Amino acid sequence: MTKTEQKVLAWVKAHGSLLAAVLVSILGMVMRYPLRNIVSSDAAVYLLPWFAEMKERGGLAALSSQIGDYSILYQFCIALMTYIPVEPLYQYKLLSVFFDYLLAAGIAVLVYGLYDGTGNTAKKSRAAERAALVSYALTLCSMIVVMNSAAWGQCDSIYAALCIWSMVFLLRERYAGAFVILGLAFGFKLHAVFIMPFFLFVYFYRKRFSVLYFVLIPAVMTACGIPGYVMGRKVWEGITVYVNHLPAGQLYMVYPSFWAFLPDVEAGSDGFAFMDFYRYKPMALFFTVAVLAMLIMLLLYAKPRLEGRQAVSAAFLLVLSTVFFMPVMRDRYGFLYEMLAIPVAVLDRKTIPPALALHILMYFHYAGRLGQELLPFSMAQFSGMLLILFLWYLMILLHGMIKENVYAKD
Amino acid sequence: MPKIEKRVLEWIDAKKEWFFVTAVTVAALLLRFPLRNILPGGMAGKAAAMLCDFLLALSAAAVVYLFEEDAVWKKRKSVLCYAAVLFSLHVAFASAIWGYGYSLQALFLIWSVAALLSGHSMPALGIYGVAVGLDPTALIMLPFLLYIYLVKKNFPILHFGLGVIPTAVMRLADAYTGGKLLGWYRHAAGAAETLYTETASFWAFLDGSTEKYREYAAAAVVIAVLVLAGLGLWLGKKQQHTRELFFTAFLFSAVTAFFWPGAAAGRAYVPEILSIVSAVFFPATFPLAVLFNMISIVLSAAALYGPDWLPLGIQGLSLAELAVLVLYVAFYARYPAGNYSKRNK
Repeated sequence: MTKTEQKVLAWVKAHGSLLAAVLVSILGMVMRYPLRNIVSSDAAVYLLPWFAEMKERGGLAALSSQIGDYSILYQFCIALMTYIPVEPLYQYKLLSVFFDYLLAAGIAVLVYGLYDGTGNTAKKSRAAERAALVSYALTLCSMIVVMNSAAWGQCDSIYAALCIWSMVFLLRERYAGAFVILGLAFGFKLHAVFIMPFFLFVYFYRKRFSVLYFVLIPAVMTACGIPGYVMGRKVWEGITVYVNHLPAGQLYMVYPSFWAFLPDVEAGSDGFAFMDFYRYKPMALFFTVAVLAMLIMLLLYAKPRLEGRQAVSAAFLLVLSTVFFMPVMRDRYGFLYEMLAIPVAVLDRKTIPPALALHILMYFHYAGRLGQELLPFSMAQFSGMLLILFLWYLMILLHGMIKENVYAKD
Repeated sequence: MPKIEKRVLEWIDAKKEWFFVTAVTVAALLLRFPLRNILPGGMAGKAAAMLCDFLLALSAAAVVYLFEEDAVWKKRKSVLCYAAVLFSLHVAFASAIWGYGYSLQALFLIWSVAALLSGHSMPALGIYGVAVGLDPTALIMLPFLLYIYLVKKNFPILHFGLGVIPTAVMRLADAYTGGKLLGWYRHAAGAAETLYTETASFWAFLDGSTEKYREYAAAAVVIAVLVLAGLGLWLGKKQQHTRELFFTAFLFSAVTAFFWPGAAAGRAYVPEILSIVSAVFFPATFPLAVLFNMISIVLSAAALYGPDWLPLGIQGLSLAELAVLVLYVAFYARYPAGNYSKRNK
């Protein structure tokens, strides 16, 4: 072997993680690029017509009124895109793909920080580095992430990435940063609310930051509407725009919710079903409150160590419970917990089988939705499978916490 | 964080069980209230049934508090049990939608089992008689009571006679107002017209059970008796304390409900409550308890909206319940491995 060759190999060995990250990043793009021309029904019916309308009404000038049902911040992004001479579909997808990378990076940083249970980012072992790299690769190359952004043209990775980064800041006790980023996540999508039970849990459990930090969320949300206010929108529209996000009339919509054991009643399809929805909705809502209350009590008893992997386990369980049991959930609302399943699996190998099962199930779901074909099983059966996964996770993660934290001393 | 805020949080933390119970009680009321109009029915009956839900949840919590051996988890488990029973959707559906009094009967049965396991056989069997008088489905606990009689040998068989008195009084009162004195027993004894009705049952695998009832009823009773006898013989060899005997009560009642012919919707109600109490005693059985309860919830919803969309069909759900029961037996065969309390001793 020549000296130059040896030097190159030594350099590669020394910078292996960095090179692997670059390679994974390139692979991520290789997976996404061929999907750029897929026009999903959502893109055809909503995203592209919104873009066309905004362009027709003068780009930024169109921010003076509501187009579509997304937040002002997302409308602002669309308005900016109208000035770029690139296919609108590609632009939508590029924005989401950018956040795919940010999401994968956030998950890697989260894993790196929590790997050895210290919660800090000081120089760590190669094992921590490898775990972070694996998380980055798994997130970026997850079929769910790839399909969501590059094929479907959806923007779930935007709020999910911001939620993950807000978790990173929260667990490092940089509270102002955490709440500003969370406010930004809310500024894009109301789905960021799924991480709120975890923030509330950390507030009650750690008792290290003031409740006033929570005020930053509506403050940032309101600030996110500034481009709209400049163009003449009312200040409260920065928040009221979210009312349109809430689907009504169905307990669940093409999502394997816990409530799929009740018939999937379409709003208005018949009066009886429509009336029943409004009678069942409070039941579903209060049942979710009770499930979350029980889970939070169990977590308080289990005393999770928020400096280590148990932090992300607690977050995962709370997000999964919120989305699975809340009424009116629809197709991709589980994106955040599906992403959190990755760091949980990397940090706690016992959860690799349920994580795999979860991602395969959701891949079926995405494939069915994109192909406009029905799943090979009914939504109630799909929901039953998710219930089994939920119980599986619960037993592994809670049992682990209680065993390690409550009974370890005996 | 300001000092005052920290103090408030610490106070909330110290009183968290109290806050939790208050919150779930309010949420349980708010959950039930909108359900009352889904089916028409007497509001007084539904309100009374809902009240019994709360009493049942309190009783289950009290049982856990009394019999839990793990001092660390005694109080914690009892508040969790209270919430779990209160938020069992089958409990909520039965009272708020259907207006059924299952929770009243379950209340008496829980007290009866608790009294029996505390060594108070006379009041236990008296209370049991009231439960049977209220609804003959309470007879699904009879195999367990006989098992305790045979295994513990600490009370005479004549005490069973005490159970007959309240039942007879209640039945006579019913007969006085026009009811049939013994008609309702025939149903419980397997003399119904179908092998199963809207419930997961071993006999659901026989297609067209209505026509086949006459031919199979005797065989079904014999099979049920044999299964229960086998269960009793197996359990009789195990060292069991009060918590374990509660689990045994669940196992006997669930197996009876599943194998006894003529089972109708609601027969699994008491085993479901006992499965929740068992899950609180033995957390490893929690997933099984959830699945066991889900089967009834699905069937309850199917009774409201028709069986067309029923996931897995009645045979599939029966197979699922059979699998859950087998897993319960497998868990108990391995018990006490992996039990928290044992590790904590």
